[in-house]
Amino acid sequence: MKIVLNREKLNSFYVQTIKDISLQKIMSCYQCGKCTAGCPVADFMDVVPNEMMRLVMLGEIEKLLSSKAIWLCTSCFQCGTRCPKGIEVHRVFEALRSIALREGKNYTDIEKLSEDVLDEIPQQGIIAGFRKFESLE
Amino acid sequence: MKRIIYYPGCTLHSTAYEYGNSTEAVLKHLGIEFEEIPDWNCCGAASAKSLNHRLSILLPARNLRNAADLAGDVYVPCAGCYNNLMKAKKAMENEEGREEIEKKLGKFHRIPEVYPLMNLFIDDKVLKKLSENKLNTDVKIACYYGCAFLRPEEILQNENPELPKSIDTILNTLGVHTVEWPLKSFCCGGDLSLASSDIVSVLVEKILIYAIEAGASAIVTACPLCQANLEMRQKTKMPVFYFTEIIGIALGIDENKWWKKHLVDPGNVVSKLKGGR
Ligand code: SF4
Ligand code: SF4
Repeated sequence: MKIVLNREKLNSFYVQTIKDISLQKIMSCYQCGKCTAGCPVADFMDVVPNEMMRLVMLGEIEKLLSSKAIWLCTSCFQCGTRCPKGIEVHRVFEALRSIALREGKNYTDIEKLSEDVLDEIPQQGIIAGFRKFESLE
Repeated sequence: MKRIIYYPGCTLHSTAYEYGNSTEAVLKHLGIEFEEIPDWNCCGAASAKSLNHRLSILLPARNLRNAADLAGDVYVPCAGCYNNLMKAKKAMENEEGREEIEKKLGKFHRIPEVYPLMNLFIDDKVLKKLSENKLNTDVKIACYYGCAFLRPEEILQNENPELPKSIDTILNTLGVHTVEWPLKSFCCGGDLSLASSDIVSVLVEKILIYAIEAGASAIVTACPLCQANLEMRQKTKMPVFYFTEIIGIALGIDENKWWKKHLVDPGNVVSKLKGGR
C-alpha cells in the first residue's frame, strides 16, 4: 500500500477530533509494537494497535473508521499500561469508535440478536455492548 | 477489629449473590464491622461512559458523597464499581472538577479513600487471623485478576498492574498453593460478549488452557464479570471461585447456596480444599 504524506491530511478535521477526544500525544508513538504485543484481540484485528497508531499519524482515518478492529477492542487498557511513551492507545480506539458511531456506523445490530444469545451473555456484557450502541444519539 | 464502609454495587445483590453473601459472612466472622453506603446508587457500569461523560462521573461521585457522612474507608468488591468510583475520586482531585461536581451534588466534607475488597484482607492484622485458619490441601489455584482492578494504573494504583499479588497473598496465607502463570491480568473479553461472542470463547479457552498447564484445578477471581464469563464460556469445566468463598471455606462457614449459583459444579474442588475437615 502506497500512502502519500501531506500536511493537509495530518491536520484534517478527523485527526484533530481524534486528538481532542483521546487527549493523547499521537506523534510520540515510535512504533515499538508493545501495544500490539499485549493486546488480547490483536489476532482477530484487521488493523492491529500499532498499525492503527501509524495510520492516525499518517492521517489515513477513513480506513480506520471502516475497520473491524475498532469494534473488537475490549477496552482492557493493556496497551496503555505497556506503552513506553505513555500513550493511552485504548483512548485512540475509543475516539475512533465515537466518531464512527456519530457517523451512523455500528457493529452490533441488537435487534438481530436472538433470545438465545441474549440469554447466554452475562448481564454486564450486555450493558457493555449497549454502551457502544447508545452513543449513537 | 476494624470498621469499614461497604459498597456492594448492583451485581453483589443479584447475579453475583454468592460473592455478596460470602463477603458478608466472612466480614462478620472476622469481626470486621461494615456499613453499606446510605442510599447508594448504581456506579454507572459501562453504559454511562460514552453516552454522557458527566453522568458517568456524577453517578459514582454521589456514592462517594453519601459515604463521606460515615467514618472510615470505602471497600468495593466489584472491579467495575471500583474502577468507576476511582474515576470519580480522580475527577475531584482538582479544584475545578470538585467545584463542578459539588455544584450538582452539594458539598463534600471529605473525600473518602476507596479500596478494592482484596486490600482489606492483606492488612497485617487480618492476615494474621486468616493464618490461624489454614486449609490442609494440595489443590493448586490460579489467581486471576482481569482488567478493571488493575488498569488504568494512573487512576487505580492499588497494586502493580503487571504483577498483581493480593489474591495470591490471601490464598497463600490460608495454606493454599497458587501457581505462577502468564494470564493473571489478561482480558477475558467480557465486554465483547455482545459484539463478538466467538472471540470471547477463544480468549476464555486460552485462559483455561494456561491455568491447567500451570497445574491449577480451579481459578479464583474477584471480578463478577470475569467469574460469570469464565464459567459460562469454557468447555473444560474448571470451577471459578470468588476469593471470599475460599476464605469462607477456610473459616468453616461456607454454604451450599453459594455453590448452587455456580455454572460449573465446584463440589469436587470444595471437598479437596476442605481436606479431611
Ligand atoms: S506501545 Fe506506544 S510507542 Fe509503542 S507502538 Fe504502541 S503506541 Fe506506539
Ligand atoms: S484496550 Fe483495546 S487495543 Fe488496547 S490492548 Fe485492550 S483490546 Fe487491545
